[in-house]
Amino acid sequence: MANSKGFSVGKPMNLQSYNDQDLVKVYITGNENGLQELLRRHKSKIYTSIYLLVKDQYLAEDIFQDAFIKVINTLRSGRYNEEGKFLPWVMRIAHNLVIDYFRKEKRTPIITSSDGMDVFNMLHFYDESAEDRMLRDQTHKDLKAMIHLLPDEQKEVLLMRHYADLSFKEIADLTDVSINTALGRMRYALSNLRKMLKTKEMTYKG
Amino acid sequence: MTKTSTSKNNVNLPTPNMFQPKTDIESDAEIDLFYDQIKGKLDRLAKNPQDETINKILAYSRAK
Repeated sequence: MANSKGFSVGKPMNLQSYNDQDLVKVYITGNENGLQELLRRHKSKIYTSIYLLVKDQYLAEDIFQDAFIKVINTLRSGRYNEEGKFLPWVMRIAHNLVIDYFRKEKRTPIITSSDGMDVFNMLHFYDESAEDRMLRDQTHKDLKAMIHLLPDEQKEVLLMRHYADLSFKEIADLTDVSINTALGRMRYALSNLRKMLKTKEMTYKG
Repeated sequence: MTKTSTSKNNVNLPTPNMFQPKTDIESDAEIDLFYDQIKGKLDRLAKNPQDETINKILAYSRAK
């Protein structure tokens, strides 16, 4: 049996093979599993992007939840534009919520350092004799700290590109800049990370 | 006595670019290579929201 949209009702559906647009349709037509699958598919991309921007797990959880409440309300009210892609749309909502939060708090989310030297005030260094796992964990912490040190606009592009898997066109639309600007910001973000990592390696050696 | 001279050919003159520190010159290939090298490390920073948060969202949707 199929509903008016052509999606089967009342029997198990293999939703993993559906694309996002079809899952949205499944959800709008009353099947909660559509939302569940969209969450399963995209939760890490969206949550990681939020978390690395706000640097606080509980705040990231709240913003993630608020973003999906907006998603649910929009989908249920029939105001969703089917021409748009689901993930960039949710990322835009989440991005706006992060901006709203920092506006309300009237504080700057990122410590900007053009030369990357501030990183040494945040990072903790261990002896070279420390165990591999400890070093590996530390590398993760260092990289996270370095991402936090990137200028806002560079960090946004890096997170949207790498974690949310958005195209540069989608990032450009979302951040109201040209595609070339988005590409340039990604390049600068990587270049700055590279410089910071190089500086850190020199410190280890020195 | 043999006289020596140095060519004044422009090839031997330093160009302005030669005074720029090489560290500031990064090619797209270098950046791409660096990105490839850190992709795995960036991936390991990925996190998931708590199950409780997901359950709250789904509960909200069911109640809506």
